[in-house]
Amino acid sequence: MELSAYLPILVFFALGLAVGGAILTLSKIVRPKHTLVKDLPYESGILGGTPARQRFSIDFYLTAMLFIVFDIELAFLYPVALTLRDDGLLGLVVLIVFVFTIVEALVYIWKKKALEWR
Amino acid sequence: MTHLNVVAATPQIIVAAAGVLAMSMGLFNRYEIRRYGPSAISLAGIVAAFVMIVLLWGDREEAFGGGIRSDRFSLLLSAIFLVSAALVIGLAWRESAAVDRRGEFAGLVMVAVAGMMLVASAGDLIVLFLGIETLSVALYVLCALEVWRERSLESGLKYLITGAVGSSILLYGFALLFGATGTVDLAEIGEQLGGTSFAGEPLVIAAMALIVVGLGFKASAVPFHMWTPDVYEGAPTSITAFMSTATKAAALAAFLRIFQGVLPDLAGDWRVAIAVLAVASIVVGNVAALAQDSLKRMLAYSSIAHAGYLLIGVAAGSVQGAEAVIYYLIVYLAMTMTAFAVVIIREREVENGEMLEAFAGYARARPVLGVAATLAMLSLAGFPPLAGFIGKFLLFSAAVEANMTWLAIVGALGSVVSLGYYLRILGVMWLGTPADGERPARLLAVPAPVMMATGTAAIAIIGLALFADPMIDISRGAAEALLAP
Repeated sequence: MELSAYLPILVFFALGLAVGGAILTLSKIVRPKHTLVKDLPYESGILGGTPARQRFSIDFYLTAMLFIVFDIELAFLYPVALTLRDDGLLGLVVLIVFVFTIVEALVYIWKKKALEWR
Repeated sequence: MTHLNVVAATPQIIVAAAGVLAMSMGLFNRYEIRRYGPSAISLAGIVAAFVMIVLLWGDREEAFGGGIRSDRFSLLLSAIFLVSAALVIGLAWRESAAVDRRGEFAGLVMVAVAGMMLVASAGDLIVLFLGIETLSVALYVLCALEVWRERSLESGLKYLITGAVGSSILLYGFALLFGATGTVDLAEIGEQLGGTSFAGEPLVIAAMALIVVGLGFKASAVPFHMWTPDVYEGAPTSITAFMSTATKAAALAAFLRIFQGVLPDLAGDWRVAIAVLAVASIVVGNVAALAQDSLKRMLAYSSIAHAGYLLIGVAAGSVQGAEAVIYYLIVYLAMTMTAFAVVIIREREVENGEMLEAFAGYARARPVLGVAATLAMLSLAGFPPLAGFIGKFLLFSAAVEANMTWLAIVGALGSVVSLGYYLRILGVMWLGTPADGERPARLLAVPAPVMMATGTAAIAIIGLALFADPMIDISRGAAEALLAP
C-alpha cells in the first residue's frame, strides 16, 4: 500500500479547512454590526409584543409529521407524471400500487383519529 | 425495459402485503377482527411465503432487472426470518404489547420481515440499504410499542438514535463503493473489484471499513454494541426475541452478501477487521453477561457474544465458513427463542419476572418448561450433543481451516466462560428456593399459542442436532449460491 495514494484525501481536508475558514473570516470582517434594535425580531415593522417561547398544542407536531410523509410521497408522484407516457402499462401498475399504499396510510391515520384536533 | 420476472420476488411481495393488511385489520370496529385478524393474516402470509420459497427453491432467478435475487441463500435466510416471525407472533399471544395494538404488532413484524428478506435477496446496494432501513424503522416502533412503560420508550428512542448512526455510516460506505466502481449492482461491483488490482486502494478500504462498522451496529458486534443491553431490556420481550434472532440473521446475511458474495478477492483486507470484531464481541459479551441479574440483559450480552461466534464464520472467508454461519443462525433461532419464551411466560406471572430471582425453583414447579430452558441454555453454551455444539464446531473448524486457529481458540475459551452464566440460570431454576416459600409464587396457565411456539423451538434444538446432516447440506447449498456467478 502506498501512502501517496492518500494525498488526495489530505488535499481534500486542507481545501475544506481553507474554504470554511475563508468564508467565516470574510463574513466576520464584512458583516454589519449588531445593535439592540437590529437584534429585535422582525414583525412587519411592528414592535415585538409577547415573548416567543410559548406552549402550543402537540397536535401541531403530529400534523406536521403526517404532512411531511404525504408531502414526500407527493414529491415522488411529480417525476412519474412526466415520464408516465414512456413507462407505459408497467409504470401505471407501479403507480397504482404506490398510490394504494398512500391511501392505505391515509385510511390508517384517519381511523386512528390522528387527523382530529383534540 | 428491464426484465421483471415478478414471480421470483413473490415471497417478499406476499409478506409486505400481509403486513399492510394485518395493520389495517386492527382498525375494524368488530372486536373479533381486531383481536384475531392481524395474527391470522400474518400467519397466512407467512405460510404462503413459505410455500413460495419451497416452490422457488433452486438456482438463481432475478427479479426487477437484478435488483432482487432469489437463490438458495436468500430463500433459506427468508425461511429463517419467517419462522422467527411466526414464533414471535405465537409468543406474543395476549402479551400486553399486543393486546391493544395487535394490528401494529403483527403488521410491523411482517414489514420488518419483508425488509429482512430484501436484505438477504438484494441484488444491488440500493435494495440492500432499503431493506435495512425498512426493518430498522419497523423495529424502532416495535421497541416503543408499550408506550405506557418508560423503559419501552427509552428502548425505542435509543435504538432510533444508534440505528440512525449505524445506517448513515453504512450508507457512506455504500456511497464510496459506488464511487470506486461506478455501479450499484452487486455482481458488477464484484466483477470490477475482482482480481487483485484493487487490493490496497484507499477508497475501497475506506468503503469496506465503513460497511463493516455500519453492519456491526446492526449485528451488535463490539465495539458497536452499546445500545444492545438497554434496547433489549426495555423492548417488549417478544420483540427482543425477534430482534436477537431475525435481525441478527439479517445483519449476518448482509455481511455474507457483501463480503463473501461480492468482495471475496479482497478477503485479505477485510478478514482481519471482522476477526477483530469477532474476538472483541466474544470477550466483552461473555464477560459482561456474567455480572447480570436480569435474564433479559444476560441474554442481550449473550446475543452480543453470539454475534462474535457468527462473525468467526464470516472472517473465515470460505464457503465452509458461510455454511457454518447459516447453520448456526438456524440453531441460534431455535435456542434463543426457547430461552426468551421462558422469560415471556414468567414475566406474565410476576412483577419483575425477568429478574433471575423470579426463577428460583421455577423449573421444579414447571418441569416441562424447565427441561426446555435447560436444553436452550446448554445448547447456547455449546454442550455436545446439542445443536449449539454442532454449530460452534462447524464455525471453529472453518476458522482452523482458514488458518485462523487463534480465532477458534478465543471462541472456545469464550464458550467456557459462557458456561458461568448459562449454568447459573439453570442452577437457580432447578436448585434455588424462592425467597418467600417453598414454591415460586403465582403460576398462571400458559395460552396454547405460547406453549406451541415454545415447544416447537425447544424440539427444534434436538431436531437440528439429530438431523444435522440434511440441514448442513442445505446450508452448504445456500453458502455456495453466494458465490455462484
